[in-house]
Amino acid sequence: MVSLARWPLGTVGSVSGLASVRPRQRGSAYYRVIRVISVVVVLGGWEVLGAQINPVFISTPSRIVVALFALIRNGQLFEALRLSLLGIVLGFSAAIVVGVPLGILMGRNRTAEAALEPWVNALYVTPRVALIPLLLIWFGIGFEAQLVVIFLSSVFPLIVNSYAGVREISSNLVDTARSFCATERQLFFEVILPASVPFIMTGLRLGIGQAVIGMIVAQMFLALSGLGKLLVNYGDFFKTDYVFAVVIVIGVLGVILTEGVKVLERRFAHWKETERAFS
Amino acid sequence: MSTGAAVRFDRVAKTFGTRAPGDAEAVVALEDVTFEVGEREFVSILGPSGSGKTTCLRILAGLTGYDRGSVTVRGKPVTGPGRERAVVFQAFNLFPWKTVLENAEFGLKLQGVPLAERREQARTYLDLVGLGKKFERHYPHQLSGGMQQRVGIARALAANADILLMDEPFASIDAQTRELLQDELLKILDRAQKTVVFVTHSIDEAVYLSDRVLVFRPRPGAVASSFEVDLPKPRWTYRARSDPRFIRIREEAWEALRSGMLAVAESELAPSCI
Repeated sequence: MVSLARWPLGTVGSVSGLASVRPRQRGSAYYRVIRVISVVVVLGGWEVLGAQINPVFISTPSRIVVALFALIRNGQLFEALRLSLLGIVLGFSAAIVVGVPLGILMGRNRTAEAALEPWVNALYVTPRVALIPLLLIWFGIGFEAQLVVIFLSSVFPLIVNSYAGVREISSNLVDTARSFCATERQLFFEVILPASVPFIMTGLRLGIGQAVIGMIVAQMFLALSGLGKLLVNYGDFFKTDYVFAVVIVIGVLGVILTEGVKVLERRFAHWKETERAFS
Repeated sequence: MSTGAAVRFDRVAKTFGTRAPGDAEAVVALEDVTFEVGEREFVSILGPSGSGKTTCLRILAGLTGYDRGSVTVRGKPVTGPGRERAVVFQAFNLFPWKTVLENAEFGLKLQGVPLAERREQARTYLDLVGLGKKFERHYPHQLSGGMQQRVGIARALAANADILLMDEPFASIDAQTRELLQDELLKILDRAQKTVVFVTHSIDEAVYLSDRVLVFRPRPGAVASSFEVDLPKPRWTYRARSDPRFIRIREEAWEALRSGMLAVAESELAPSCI
Protein backbone atom coordinates (compact mmCIF):
# COMPACT_ATOMS: atom_id res chain seq x y z
CA MET A 1 0.00 0.00 0.00
CA VAL A 2 1.35 3.39 -0.99
CA SER A 3 1.72 5.73 1.94
CA LEU A 4 -0.26 8.94 2.08
CA ALA A 5 2.97 10.92 2.09
CA ARG A 6 3.27 10.26 -1.63
CA TRP A 7 0.25 12.37 -2.50
CA PRO A 8 2.10 15.57 -3.33
CA LEU A 9 3.89 13.84 -6.21
CA GLY A 10 2.70 15.06 -9.58
CA THR A 11 -0.40 17.10 -10.12
CA VAL A 12 -3.83 16.44 -11.47
CA GLY A 13 -3.78 16.49 -15.24
CA SER A 14 -0.35 18.08 -15.54
CA VAL A 15 2.53 17.08 -17.75
CA SER A 16 4.80 16.62 -14.75
CA GLY A 17 3.00 13.35 -14.00
CA LEU A 18 4.63 11.91 -17.11
CA ALA A 19 8.08 12.11 -15.59
CA SER A 20 7.44 9.10 -13.40
CA VAL A 21 6.76 6.97 -16.47
CA ARG A 22 10.29 7.44 -17.80
CA PRO A 23 12.82 4.90 -16.71
CA ARG A 24 14.99 6.21 -13.85
CA GLN A 25 18.59 5.66 -14.77
CA ARG A 26 20.55 7.69 -12.25
CA GLY A 27 20.20 8.94 -8.73
CA SER A 28 18.33 12.19 -8.19
CA ALA A 29 21.59 13.91 -7.05
CA TYR A 30 22.91 13.56 -10.60
CA TYR A 31 19.95 15.44 -12.08
CA ARG A 32 20.20 18.11 -9.41
CA VAL A 33 23.83 18.74 -10.37
CA ILE A 34 22.86 18.96 -14.07
CA ARG A 35 20.19 21.52 -13.17
CA VAL A 36 22.68 23.69 -11.24
CA ILE A 37 25.33 23.44 -13.97
CA SER A 38 22.76 24.48 -16.58
CA VAL A 39 21.77 27.58 -14.62
CA VAL A 40 25.36 28.54 -13.82
CA VAL A 41 26.57 28.07 -17.42
CA VAL A 42 23.74 30.07 -18.97
CA LEU A 43 23.89 32.92 -16.45
CA GLY A 44 27.69 32.96 -16.51
CA GLY A 45 27.79 32.97 -20.32
CA TRP A 46 25.20 35.73 -20.37
CA GLU A 47 27.25 37.81 -17.91
CA VAL A 48 30.45 37.44 -19.97
CA LEU A 49 28.78 37.92 -23.35
CA GLY A 50 26.52 40.74 -22.20
CA ALA A 51 29.46 42.75 -20.86
CA GLN A 52 31.05 42.76 -24.32
CA ILE A 53 28.09 44.19 -26.21
CA ASN A 54 25.85 47.22 -25.85
CA PRO A 55 23.91 46.84 -22.58
CA VAL A 56 20.75 47.98 -24.38
CA PHE A 57 20.52 44.62 -26.14
CA ILE A 58 20.70 41.92 -23.50
CA SER A 59 22.12 43.61 -20.40
CA THR A 60 23.72 41.23 -17.86
CA PRO A 61 22.43 39.24 -14.91
CA SER A 62 24.34 41.40 -12.42
CA ARG A 63 22.85 44.61 -13.84
CA ILE A 64 19.41 43.04 -13.70
CA VAL A 65 19.85 42.23 -10.03
CA VAL A 66 20.95 45.80 -9.36
CA ALA A 67 17.90 47.10 -11.26
CA LEU A 68 15.65 44.78 -9.26
CA PHE A 69 16.95 46.16 -5.96
CA ALA A 70 16.61 49.72 -7.27
CA LEU A 71 12.95 49.00 -8.09
CA ILE A 72 12.38 47.59 -4.65
CA ARG A 73 14.07 50.54 -2.95
CA ASN A 74 12.26 53.31 -4.82
CA GLY A 75 8.89 51.71 -4.08
CA GLN A 76 7.87 51.40 -7.73
CA LEU A 77 7.83 47.63 -7.62
CA PHE A 78 5.73 47.47 -4.47
CA GLU A 79 3.16 49.89 -5.87
CA ALA A 80 3.02 48.05 -9.19
CA LEU A 81 2.62 44.68 -7.44
CA ARG A 82 -0.10 46.03 -5.21
CA LEU A 83 -2.13 47.28 -8.18
CA SER A 84 -1.52 44.10 -10.16
CA LEU A 85 -2.48 41.76 -7.33
CA LEU A 86 -5.60 43.79 -6.63
CA GLY A 87 -6.54 43.43 -10.30
CA ILE A 88 -5.92 39.68 -10.25
CA VAL A 89 -7.81 39.12 -7.02
CA LEU A 90 -10.87 41.08 -8.18
CA GLY A 91 -10.87 39.88 -11.79
CA PHE A 92 -10.15 36.25 -11.00
CA SER A 93 -12.66 36.13 -8.14
CA ALA A 94 -15.33 37.43 -10.50
CA ALA A 95 -14.29 34.78 -13.02
CA ILE A 96 -14.68 32.03 -10.40
CA VAL A 97 -18.04 33.34 -9.21
CA VAL A 98 -19.36 33.45 -12.78
CA GLY A 99 -17.42 30.67 -14.49
CA VAL A 100 -17.84 27.75 -12.11
CA PRO A 101 -21.65 28.00 -11.71
CA LEU A 102 -22.05 28.62 -15.44
CA GLY A 103 -19.97 25.54 -16.28
CA ILE A 104 -21.94 23.42 -13.81
CA LEU A 105 -25.22 24.75 -15.20
CA MET A 106 -24.12 23.80 -18.72
CA GLY A 107 -23.22 20.32 -17.53
CA ARG A 108 -26.51 19.78 -15.73
CA ASN A 109 -29.01 21.47 -18.01
CA ARG A 110 -29.35 20.51 -21.67
CA THR A 111 -31.10 23.76 -22.57
CA ALA A 112 -28.38 25.89 -20.98
CA GLU A 113 -25.79 23.71 -22.69
CA ALA A 114 -27.35 24.19 -26.11
CA ALA A 115 -27.73 27.93 -25.58
CA LEU A 116 -24.25 28.62 -24.20
CA GLU A 117 -21.95 26.07 -25.79
CA PRO A 118 -21.46 27.81 -29.17
CA TRP A 119 -20.52 31.08 -27.44
CA VAL A 120 -18.26 29.48 -24.90
CA ASN A 121 -16.47 27.42 -27.53
CA ALA A 122 -16.04 30.37 -29.87
CA LEU A 123 -14.73 32.69 -27.16
CA TYR A 124 -12.58 29.98 -25.60
CA VAL A 125 -10.51 29.63 -28.77
CA THR A 126 -10.43 33.37 -29.55
CA PRO A 127 -7.37 35.03 -28.05
CA ARG A 128 -8.92 37.53 -25.64
CA VAL A 129 -6.12 39.96 -26.51
CA ALA A 130 -7.92 40.41 -29.84
CA LEU A 131 -10.81 41.96 -27.94
CA ILE A 132 -8.69 44.75 -26.48
CA PRO A 133 -9.61 47.39 -29.08
CA LEU A 134 -13.28 46.69 -28.41
CA LEU A 135 -12.83 46.79 -24.66
CA LEU A 136 -11.06 50.10 -25.08
CA ILE A 137 -14.16 51.45 -26.79
CA TRP A 138 -16.55 49.98 -24.25
CA PHE A 139 -14.74 50.44 -20.98
CA GLY A 140 -12.13 53.12 -21.60
CA ILE A 141 -8.64 52.84 -20.15
CA GLY A 142 -9.24 52.69 -16.42
CA PHE A 143 -8.81 50.00 -13.80
CA GLU A 144 -12.27 48.62 -14.69
CA ALA A 145 -11.18 47.84 -18.24
CA GLN A 146 -8.21 45.99 -16.79
CA LEU A 147 -10.53 43.92 -14.60
CA VAL A 148 -12.67 43.04 -17.62
CA VAL A 149 -9.61 41.73 -19.46
CA ILE A 150 -8.49 39.64 -16.47
CA PHE A 151 -12.02 38.33 -16.07
CA LEU A 152 -12.38 37.42 -19.75
CA SER A 153 -8.94 35.81 -19.81
CA SER A 154 -9.61 33.47 -16.91
CA VAL A 155 -13.34 32.80 -17.06
CA PHE A 156 -13.30 30.44 -20.04
CA PRO A 157 -10.91 27.82 -18.66
CA LEU A 158 -13.11 27.84 -15.54
CA ILE A 159 -16.36 27.41 -17.50
CA VAL A 160 -14.97 24.73 -19.80
CA ASN A 161 -13.40 22.67 -17.00
CA SER A 162 -16.37 22.90 -14.63
CA TYR A 163 -18.61 21.87 -17.51
CA ALA A 164 -16.35 18.92 -18.33
CA GLY A 165 -16.28 17.96 -14.66
CA VAL A 166 -20.04 17.65 -14.47
CA ARG A 167 -20.25 15.87 -17.82
CA GLU A 168 -17.63 13.31 -16.80
CA ILE A 169 -19.45 12.15 -13.68
CA SER A 170 -20.07 8.44 -13.84
CA SER A 171 -23.75 7.56 -14.11
CA ASN A 172 -22.99 4.73 -11.67
CA LEU A 173 -22.39 7.21 -8.87
CA VAL A 174 -25.51 9.16 -9.74
CA ASP A 175 -27.51 5.90 -9.70
CA THR A 176 -26.00 5.01 -6.36
CA ALA A 177 -27.04 8.30 -4.80
CA ARG A 178 -30.52 7.92 -6.29
CA SER A 179 -30.83 4.40 -4.96
CA PHE A 180 -30.29 5.83 -1.48
CA CYS A 181 -33.15 8.24 -2.15
CA ALA A 182 -31.05 11.37 -2.71
CA THR A 183 -33.08 14.49 -3.39
CA GLU A 184 -31.94 16.70 -6.28
CA ARG A 185 -30.24 18.97 -3.76
CA GLN A 186 -28.45 16.08 -2.05
CA LEU A 187 -27.45 14.66 -5.41
CA PHE A 188 -25.86 17.99 -6.26
CA PHE A 189 -24.00 18.58 -3.02
CA GLU A 190 -23.07 14.97 -2.25
CA VAL A 191 -22.13 13.79 -5.75
CA ILE A 192 -22.13 16.30 -8.60
CA LEU A 193 -20.15 19.01 -6.84
CA PRO A 194 -17.50 16.87 -5.11
CA ALA A 195 -17.01 14.78 -8.25
CA SER A 196 -16.35 17.93 -10.28
CA VAL A 197 -13.88 19.44 -7.82
CA PRO A 198 -10.75 18.03 -9.50
CA PHE A 199 -11.88 19.50 -12.81
CA ILE A 200 -12.74 22.82 -11.23
CA MET A 201 -9.27 22.85 -9.67
CA THR A 202 -7.72 22.26 -13.10
CA GLY A 203 -9.82 25.18 -14.32
CA LEU A 204 -8.44 27.33 -11.51
CA ARG A 205 -4.88 26.38 -12.32
CA LEU A 206 -5.26 27.13 -16.03
CA GLY A 207 -7.36 30.21 -15.27
CA ILE A 208 -4.85 31.85 -12.93
CA GLY A 209 -2.14 31.58 -15.59
CA GLN A 210 -4.46 33.21 -18.11
CA ALA A 211 -5.34 35.88 -15.56
CA VAL A 212 -1.69 36.90 -15.20
CA ILE A 213 -1.29 37.10 -18.98
CA GLY A 214 -4.51 39.11 -19.25
CA MET A 215 -3.39 41.45 -16.49
CA ILE A 216 -0.02 42.26 -18.08
CA VAL A 217 -1.55 42.74 -21.53
CA ALA A 218 -4.26 45.01 -20.12
CA GLN A 219 -1.73 47.02 -18.14
CA MET A 220 0.46 47.46 -21.19
CA PHE A 221 -2.20 48.31 -23.74
CA LEU A 222 -5.17 49.63 -21.80
CA ALA A 223 -4.52 51.03 -18.41
CA LEU A 224 -0.82 51.77 -18.24
CA SER A 225 -0.53 50.81 -14.61
CA GLY A 226 1.08 48.20 -12.45
CA LEU A 227 3.77 45.85 -13.74
CA GLY A 228 2.71 46.31 -17.37
CA LYS A 229 3.29 50.03 -17.10
CA LEU A 230 6.81 49.46 -15.72
CA LEU A 231 7.56 47.21 -18.70
CA VAL A 232 6.35 49.80 -21.21
CA ASN A 233 8.06 52.73 -19.54
CA TYR A 234 11.46 51.10 -19.13
CA GLY A 235 11.20 49.57 -22.58
CA ASP A 236 10.58 53.01 -24.11
CA PHE A 237 13.81 54.27 -22.49
CA PHE A 238 15.78 51.17 -23.54
CA LYS A 239 16.47 50.29 -19.90
CA THR A 240 16.88 46.62 -20.69
CA ASP A 241 18.04 45.65 -17.19
CA TYR A 242 14.87 47.12 -15.63
CA VAL A 243 12.65 45.39 -18.21
CA PHE A 244 14.29 42.06 -17.38
CA ALA A 245 13.87 42.73 -13.66
CA VAL A 246 10.13 43.29 -14.13
CA VAL A 247 9.83 40.21 -16.35
CA ILE A 248 11.43 38.16 -13.59
CA VAL A 249 8.99 39.55 -11.03
CA ILE A 250 6.06 38.67 -13.32
CA GLY A 251 7.41 35.17 -13.77
CA VAL A 252 7.82 34.69 -10.03
CA LEU A 253 4.31 36.06 -9.45
CA GLY A 254 2.90 33.57 -11.97
CA VAL A 255 4.73 30.67 -10.33
CA ILE A 256 3.59 31.67 -6.83
CA LEU A 257 -0.05 31.98 -7.88
CA THR A 258 -0.01 28.68 -9.79
CA GLU A 259 1.66 26.88 -6.89
CA GLY A 260 -0.94 28.35 -4.56
CA VAL A 261 -3.68 26.79 -6.68
CA LYS A 262 -1.78 23.50 -6.73
CA VAL A 263 -1.83 23.49 -2.94
CA LEU A 264 -5.61 23.86 -3.10
CA GLU A 265 -5.72 21.11 -5.69
CA ARG A 266 -3.84 18.71 -3.45
CA ARG A 267 -6.02 19.63 -0.53
CA PHE A 268 -9.37 19.15 -2.28
CA ALA A 269 -8.71 16.77 -5.15
CA HIS A 270 -6.22 14.35 -3.63
CA TRP A 271 -8.52 11.39 -4.17
CA LYS A 272 -8.36 11.87 -7.94
CA GLU A 273 -4.59 11.96 -7.81
CA THR A 274 -4.23 8.81 -5.78
CA GLU A 275 -6.83 7.10 -7.90
CA ARG A 276 -4.59 7.81 -10.86
CA ALA A 277 -1.48 6.69 -9.04
CA PHE A 278 -3.08 3.33 -8.33
CA SER A 279 -4.70 2.60 -11.68
CA MET B 1 -53.15 -12.06 -4.76
CA SER B 2 -51.01 -13.35 -1.95
CA THR B 3 -50.35 -10.86 0.81
CA GLY B 4 -47.12 -12.20 2.28
CA ALA B 5 -44.91 -11.18 -0.64
CA ALA B 6 -42.25 -8.54 -0.06
CA VAL B 7 -41.67 -8.11 -3.77
CA ARG B 8 -44.00 -8.92 -6.62
CA PHE B 9 -43.39 -8.72 -10.38
CA ASP B 10 -46.54 -9.21 -12.43
CA ARG B 11 -46.19 -9.62 -16.21
CA VAL B 12 -43.49 -6.96 -16.36
CA ALA B 13 -42.17 -5.97 -19.77
CA LYS B 14 -39.38 -3.59 -20.70
CA THR B 15 -38.02 -2.61 -24.09
CA PHE B 16 -34.92 -0.49 -24.57
CA GLY B 17 -34.08 1.94 -27.34
CA THR B 18 -37.46 2.58 -28.83
CA ARG B 19 -39.85 5.44 -29.12
CA ALA B 20 -42.07 3.97 -31.83
CA PRO B 21 -43.58 0.49 -31.94
CA GLY B 22 -41.89 -1.86 -34.36
CA ASP B 23 -38.52 -0.10 -34.11
CA ALA B 24 -35.84 -2.42 -35.45
CA GLU B 25 -33.27 -1.07 -32.98
CA ALA B 26 -35.44 -1.93 -30.02
CA VAL B 27 -34.22 -4.59 -27.61
CA VAL B 28 -36.81 -6.43 -25.60
CA ALA B 29 -35.08 -6.77 -22.24
CA LEU B 30 -37.93 -8.32 -20.29
CA GLU B 31 -41.12 -10.00 -21.42
CA ASP B 32 -43.89 -11.10 -19.11
CA VAL B 33 -41.71 -11.48 -16.04
CA THR B 34 -43.73 -12.72 -13.10
CA PHE B 35 -42.40 -13.77 -9.71
CA GLU B 36 -42.70 -13.12 -6.01
CA VAL B 37 -40.19 -12.84 -3.22
CA GLY B 38 -41.39 -13.62 0.29
CA GLU B 39 -40.43 -11.73 3.44
CA ARG B 40 -36.94 -12.75 4.64
CA GLU B 41 -36.52 -14.90 1.58
CA PHE B 42 -33.23 -15.04 -0.33
CA VAL B 43 -34.03 -15.26 -4.02
CA SER B 44 -31.40 -15.38 -6.76
CA ILE B 45 -31.99 -14.37 -10.32
CA LEU B 46 -29.72 -16.63 -12.33
CA GLY B 47 -29.21 -16.18 -16.02
CA PRO B 48 -26.74 -15.63 -18.83
CA SER B 49 -25.87 -12.18 -20.23
CA GLY B 50 -28.82 -10.59 -21.96
CA SER B 51 -31.44 -12.32 -19.86
CA GLY B 52 -32.49 -9.01 -18.32
CA LYS B 53 -31.56 -9.95 -14.78
CA THR B 54 -29.81 -6.67 -14.02
CA THR B 55 -32.66 -4.77 -15.69
CA CYS B 56 -35.02 -6.60 -13.38
CA LEU B 57 -33.04 -5.52 -10.35
CA ARG B 58 -32.76 -1.93 -11.55
CA ILE B 59 -36.51 -1.81 -12.04
CA LEU B 60 -36.96 -3.12 -8.53
CA ALA B 61 -34.48 -0.54 -7.24
CA GLY B 62 -36.49 2.18 -8.95
CA LEU B 63 -33.57 3.21 -11.15
CA THR B 64 -35.16 2.06 -14.42
CA GLY B 65 -38.77 2.28 -15.50
CA TYR B 66 -40.82 -0.49 -17.11
CA ASP B 67 -43.32 -0.46 -19.95
CA ARG B 68 -46.03 -2.89 -18.89
CA GLY B 69 -47.12 -4.96 -15.94
CA SER B 70 -46.71 -4.05 -12.31
CA VAL B 71 -43.89 -4.11 -9.76
CA THR B 72 -44.89 -3.81 -6.14
CA VAL B 73 -43.03 -3.81 -2.86
CA ARG B 74 -45.33 -4.84 -0.02
CA GLY B 75 -48.30 -4.03 -2.21
CA LYS B 76 -47.11 -0.54 -3.14
CA PRO B 77 -46.18 0.11 -6.77
CA VAL B 78 -42.52 0.93 -7.34
CA THR B 79 -42.22 4.43 -8.77
CA GLY B 80 -38.64 5.15 -7.73
CA PRO B 81 -36.05 4.26 -5.11
CA GLY B 82 -37.30 3.72 -1.59
CA ARG B 83 -35.79 3.58 1.87
CA GLU B 84 -36.94 0.02 2.40
CA ARG B 85 -34.66 -1.04 -0.46
CA ALA B 86 -30.86 -0.74 -0.67
CA VAL B 87 -28.64 -1.73 -3.57
CA VAL B 88 -25.21 -3.36 -3.63
CA PHE B 89 -23.65 -2.78 -7.03
CA GLN B 90 -21.39 -4.94 -9.15
CA ALA B 91 -18.88 -2.09 -9.63
CA PHE B 92 -19.03 -1.27 -5.88
CA ASN B 93 -19.84 2.37 -6.76
CA LEU B 94 -18.15 3.80 -3.72
CA PHE B 95 -17.62 7.56 -3.75
CA PRO B 96 -13.88 7.99 -4.32
CA TRP B 97 -13.70 11.29 -2.41
CA LYS B 98 -15.29 9.82 0.69
CA THR B 99 -13.50 7.70 3.25
CA VAL B 100 -14.65 4.21 4.11
CA LEU B 101 -16.62 5.55 7.06
CA GLU B 102 -18.17 8.36 5.04
CA ASN B 103 -19.20 5.90 2.35
CA ALA B 104 -20.75 3.55 4.88
CA GLU B 105 -22.81 6.31 6.46
CA PHE B 106 -23.98 7.71 3.11
CA GLY B 107 -27.56 6.45 3.27
CA LEU B 108 -27.99 7.64 6.85
CA LYS B 109 -26.58 11.06 5.98
CA LEU B 110 -29.17 11.43 3.23
CA GLN B 111 -31.84 10.45 5.72
CA GLY B 112 -30.72 13.30 7.96
CA VAL B 113 -29.42 11.15 10.81
CA PRO B 114 -27.17 13.28 13.10
CA LEU B 115 -23.43 12.83 12.68
CA ALA B 116 -22.57 11.01 15.91
CA GLU B 117 -25.45 8.59 15.55
CA ARG B 118 -24.79 7.72 11.93
CA ARG B 119 -21.06 7.33 12.58
CA GLU B 120 -21.83 4.83 15.30
CA GLN B 121 -24.21 2.86 13.11
CA ALA B 122 -21.83 2.91 10.15
CA ARG B 123 -19.05 1.60 12.42
CA THR B 124 -21.28 -1.20 13.63
CA TYR B 125 -21.90 -2.38 10.09
CA LEU B 126 -18.30 -1.91 8.98
CA ASP B 127 -17.40 -4.11 11.90
CA LEU B 128 -20.03 -6.63 10.85
CA VAL B 129 -18.56 -6.92 7.34
CA GLY B 130 -15.09 -7.38 8.80
CA LEU B 131 -13.65 -3.90 8.28
CA GLY B 132 -12.22 -2.77 11.57
CA LYS B 133 -11.53 0.76 12.74
CA LYS B 134 -8.13 0.91 11.13
CA PHE B 135 -9.67 1.10 7.64
CA GLU B 136 -12.34 3.69 8.30
CA ARG B 137 -10.20 6.62 7.20
CA HIS B 138 -8.94 4.91 4.06
CA TYR B 139 -10.18 5.93 0.64
CA PRO B 140 -11.79 3.32 -1.61
CA HIS B 141 -8.90 3.10 -4.09
CA GLN B 142 -6.62 2.13 -1.21
CA LEU B 143 -8.63 -1.06 -0.70
CA SER B 144 -8.78 -4.32 -2.63
CA GLY B 145 -11.93 -5.16 -4.59
CA GLY B 146 -13.13 -7.51 -1.90
CA MET B 147 -12.72 -4.88 0.79
CA GLN B 148 -14.42 -2.25 -1.35
CA GLN B 149 -17.43 -4.49 -1.74
CA ARG B 150 -17.49 -5.05 2.02
CA VAL B 151 -17.89 -1.28 2.30
CA GLY B 152 -20.62 -1.45 -0.34
CA ILE B 153 -22.46 -4.06 1.72
CA ALA B 154 -21.97 -2.09 4.94
CA ARG B 155 -23.37 1.00 3.21
CA ALA B 156 -26.47 -0.91 2.13
CA LEU B 157 -26.95 -2.51 5.54
CA ALA B 158 -26.41 0.75 7.43
CA ALA B 159 -29.18 2.44 5.44
CA ASN B 160 -31.61 0.30 7.43
CA ALA B 161 -33.41 -1.06 4.40
CA ASP B 162 -34.88 -4.51 4.96
CA ILE B 163 -34.80 -5.46 1.29
CA LEU B 164 -31.30 -5.88 -0.11
CA LEU B 165 -30.88 -5.76 -3.86
CA MET B 166 -27.56 -7.23 -4.92
CA ASP B 167 -26.45 -6.92 -8.53
CA GLU B 168 -23.69 -9.46 -9.17
CA PRO B 169 -21.89 -8.07 -6.13
CA PHE B 170 -19.06 -10.60 -6.22
CA ALA B 171 -18.65 -10.94 -9.99
CA SER B 172 -15.48 -8.86 -10.19
CA ILE B 173 -13.84 -10.34 -7.09
CA ASP B 174 -11.33 -13.18 -7.22
CA ALA B 175 -12.69 -16.68 -6.70
CA GLN B 176 -11.24 -17.34 -3.24
CA THR B 177 -12.33 -14.00 -1.81
CA ARG B 178 -15.72 -14.51 -3.43
CA GLU B 179 -16.34 -17.73 -1.48
CA LEU B 180 -15.28 -16.04 1.75
CA LEU B 181 -17.62 -13.15 1.07
CA GLN B 182 -20.48 -15.53 0.28
CA ASP B 183 -20.04 -17.17 3.67
CA GLU B 184 -19.86 -13.82 5.38
CA LEU B 185 -22.96 -12.62 3.59
CA LEU B 186 -24.87 -15.64 4.89
CA LYS B 187 -23.60 -15.02 8.41
CA ILE B 188 -24.56 -11.36 8.24
CA LEU B 189 -28.03 -12.19 6.95
CA ASP B 190 -28.43 -14.76 9.68
CA ARG B 191 -28.13 -11.90 12.16
CA ALA B 192 -29.63 -9.03 10.19
CA GLN B 193 -32.74 -10.76 8.78
CA LYS B 194 -33.24 -9.22 5.35
CA THR B 195 -35.15 -10.02 2.22
CA VAL B 196 -32.61 -10.41 -0.56
CA VAL B 197 -32.86 -10.35 -4.34
CA PHE B 198 -29.50 -11.45 -5.67
CA VAL B 199 -28.54 -11.29 -9.33
CA THR B 200 -25.78 -13.58 -10.51
CA HIS B 201 -24.59 -15.59 -13.49
CA SER B 202 -22.88 -18.12 -11.26
CA ILE B 203 -24.86 -21.29 -10.66
CA ASP B 204 -22.78 -22.22 -7.60
CA GLU B 205 -23.30 -18.83 -6.06
CA ALA B 206 -27.05 -18.89 -6.66
CA VAL B 207 -27.46 -22.37 -5.23
CA TYR B 208 -25.18 -21.83 -2.27
CA LEU B 209 -26.79 -18.58 -1.13
CA SER B 210 -30.46 -18.87 -2.02
CA ASP B 211 -33.68 -20.20 -0.65
CA ARG B 212 -35.03 -20.11 -4.17
CA VAL B 213 -33.48 -19.61 -7.60
CA LEU B 214 -35.25 -18.02 -10.56
CA VAL B 215 -33.64 -19.12 -13.81
CA PHE B 216 -33.91 -16.47 -16.53
CA ARG B 217 -33.59 -17.13 -20.24
CA PRO B 218 -32.22 -14.53 -22.67
CA ARG B 219 -33.61 -12.54 -25.60
CA PRO B 220 -36.13 -11.62 -24.46
CA GLY B 221 -35.44 -11.95 -20.76
CA ALA B 222 -38.05 -13.99 -18.97
CA VAL B 223 -38.35 -16.43 -16.10
CA ALA B 224 -37.64 -19.90 -17.51
CA SER B 225 -38.07 -21.84 -14.30
CA SER B 226 -37.84 -21.57 -10.57
CA PHE B 227 -36.73 -24.05 -7.93
CA GLU B 228 -36.29 -24.26 -4.18
CA VAL B 229 -32.88 -24.94 -2.67
CA ASP B 230 -33.58 -27.36 0.16
CA LEU B 231 -30.04 -27.45 1.53
CA PRO B 232 -29.97 -27.31 5.32
CA LYS B 233 -28.94 -24.01 6.91
CA PRO B 234 -26.66 -22.58 8.14
CA ARG B 235 -24.66 -23.64 5.14
CA TRP B 236 -21.26 -22.34 6.23
CA THR B 237 -21.18 -24.85 9.07
CA TYR B 238 -20.73 -27.86 6.81
CA ARG B 239 -19.16 -28.33 3.42
CA ALA B 240 -22.34 -27.44 1.59
CA ARG B 241 -20.58 -26.86 -1.72
CA SER B 242 -19.53 -30.49 -1.93
CA ASP B 243 -22.73 -31.92 -0.43
CA PRO B 244 -24.44 -34.42 -2.80
CA ARG B 245 -27.67 -32.43 -2.59
CA PHE B 246 -25.81 -29.27 -3.63
CA ILE B 247 -24.38 -31.08 -6.62
CA ARG B 248 -27.79 -32.41 -7.62
CA ILE B 249 -29.44 -29.00 -7.42
CA ARG B 250 -26.53 -27.52 -9.30
CA GLU B 251 -27.09 -30.02 -12.12
CA GLU B 252 -30.79 -29.20 -12.25
CA ALA B 253 -30.03 -25.49 -12.39
CA TRP B 254 -27.54 -26.02 -15.16
CA GLU B 255 -30.09 -28.05 -17.14
CA ALA B 256 -32.69 -25.30 -16.77
CA LEU B 257 -30.18 -22.66 -17.77
CA ARG B 258 -28.91 -24.66 -20.72
CA SER B 259 -32.30 -25.45 -22.20
CA GLY B 260 -33.21 -21.76 -22.07
CA MET B 261 -29.98 -20.78 -23.77
CA LEU B 262 -30.18 -23.53 -26.39
CA ALA B 263 -33.72 -22.54 -27.36
CA VAL B 264 -32.45 -19.02 -28.01
CA ALA B 265 -29.35 -20.21 -29.86
CA GLU B 266 -31.51 -22.28 -32.22
CA SER B 267 -33.95 -19.49 -32.91
CA GLU B 268 -31.07 -17.11 -33.58
CA LEU B 269 -29.24 -19.49 -35.84
CA ALA B 270 -32.26 -20.60 -37.83
CA PRO B 271 -32.64 -17.65 -40.25
CA SER B 272 -28.97 -17.51 -41.22
CA CYS B 273 -28.93 -21.24 -41.99
CA ILE B 274 -31.66 -21.11 -44.58
